[in-house]
Amino acid sequence: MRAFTMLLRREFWEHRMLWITPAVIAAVIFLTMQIFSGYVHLGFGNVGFGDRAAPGATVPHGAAYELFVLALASPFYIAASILAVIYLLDCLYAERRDRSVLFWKSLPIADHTVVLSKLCTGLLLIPLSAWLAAGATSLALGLSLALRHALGFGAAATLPQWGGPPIWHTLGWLQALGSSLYITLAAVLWYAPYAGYLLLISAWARRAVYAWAFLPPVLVTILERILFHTAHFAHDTQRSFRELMQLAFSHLGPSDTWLSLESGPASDTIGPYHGLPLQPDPGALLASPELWTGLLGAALCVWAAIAFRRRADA
Amino acid sequence: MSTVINAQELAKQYGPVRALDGASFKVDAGRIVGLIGRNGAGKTTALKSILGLTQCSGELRVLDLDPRRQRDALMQQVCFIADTAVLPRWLRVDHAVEFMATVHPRFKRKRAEEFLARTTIRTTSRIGELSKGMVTQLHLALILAIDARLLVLDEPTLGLDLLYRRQFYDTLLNDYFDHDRTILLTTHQVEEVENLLTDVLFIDQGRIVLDSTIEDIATRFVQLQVAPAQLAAARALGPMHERELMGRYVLLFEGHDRAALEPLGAVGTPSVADLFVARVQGAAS
Repeated sequence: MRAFTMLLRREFWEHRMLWITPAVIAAVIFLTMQIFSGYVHLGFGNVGFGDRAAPGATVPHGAAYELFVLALASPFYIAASILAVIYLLDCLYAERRDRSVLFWKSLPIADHTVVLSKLCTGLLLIPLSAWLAAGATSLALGLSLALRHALGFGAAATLPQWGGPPIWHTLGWLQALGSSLYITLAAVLWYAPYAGYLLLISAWARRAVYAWAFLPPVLVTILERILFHTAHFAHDTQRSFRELMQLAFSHLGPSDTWLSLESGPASDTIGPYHGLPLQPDPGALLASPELWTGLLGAALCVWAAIAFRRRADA
Repeated sequence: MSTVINAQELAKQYGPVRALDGASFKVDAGRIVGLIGRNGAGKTTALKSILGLTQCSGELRVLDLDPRRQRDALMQQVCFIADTAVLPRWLRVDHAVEFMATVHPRFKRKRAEEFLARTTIRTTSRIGELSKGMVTQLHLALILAIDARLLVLDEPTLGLDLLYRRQFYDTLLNDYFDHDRTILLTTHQVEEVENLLTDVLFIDQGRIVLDSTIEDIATRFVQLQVAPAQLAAARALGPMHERELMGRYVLLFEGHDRAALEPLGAVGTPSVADLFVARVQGAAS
């Protein structure tokens, strides 16, 4: 276990962008909000997932803060997705490119341990870093704005319908952390086949890993379209975020809206907080055949990546 | 004396090229063995097989382990330096030591730090910031700190200047080698390692063409330098190789009595390099 932990640390030594990027995003968001919070009002009157959010709908305080934290997390997750793709494509290829694979292979570490450490970094640690950075940023931001407001240093970021109270809401923040952690872990499982595929390309390709990773699926899709006028390949391999959300959360909204926000006058902080109508449903997610098919595909890709790494000798 | 490496009929084919063609040899514990061959002779493939990095047909046991199937267990007792370029450029020196100390059960951190303290390497430097000589020193520090039974060196001093090369081998002998440990090395600079080898393995076209101790070379091979007038008489004795050198002829004999050759000219022991040339050119002709 100590060796595996050290392998994970090694990945962060080598790929410094993995921790620098979230730190930079956190700093930019924090400073931007400090500077512009007096001028920018954050409103969620028209916010809603799905396509049925009513114009003018208002949001309970805690739910609004939860939404605010989730929105704040989105740059971290977008960056994490890009980082994960870059990292997974590079991690096994780079050690052959600079011939350092011979050094790593001179140590008593099994190939499967090395490959699993890279998978763990790309698939789990990068998204978890995003989650952690987003949570820390929202905490620091919320507390600092509340403090500024309390001390009378400029206006804190406010929601228009509240008439100016600081937007910090402890339960909303915790709820957002819980929701985003659940979404993160669900996404880890959902996108595991993509991670396995990228890792396999990284272990196998002798050069041009990006071309090998992206051109074949695109070409197969185009050829299928031209030759058979069908889109089975794209349909069967595509794993959309919306589909994941539909699987991971219960459908609580009316009609076909999977998530809706209540309309009506703004509620204050008094009274029970129910948060966003997001109802995690891990059972439904884990019962999904698509999830398990994807995990099987991921396992096959990782197995192949281990076999290629075993043969790698620069 | 226990056998560290036992290779029988090793064969490996890369497309139409036979990298190893029935190579058989043994390496005993406590020896320093030079695996010497031309480019493409099969040296690196042989080393890779010993390290479990490539699959060969034939029988191969290293420290009583199957290198391919038991590679992780084997690498706890075997160290390997390919050449200085393989240390990752992004790694910091102190991180390298910390990493080794964590993942290698036989790594002695104190020993590595003591060795590094004798150099000018800053522990916070990245390997990419070090000179090639310093990278070699670092790699050596990491290797010397491992209590390994077999050290495999594949062209370890490639690209280094004479001072670093000398320092490398001096350190290896003084700080690493004892009679329980075994070193197997390949190099093109045969003259530089000749004095530290206890055994040589000549490899050519995937086959071992000479497997001998250094002591045996002195008794088994004789070098005779003759004037042109004695050349015919010397040739009549069946030399394994001859070459012309500044108007005189140098002939190599195997299994001849020195006393019988002395009347013809100056008799001596051939260097490993001369013997290698004779063996390989003889095999080719």
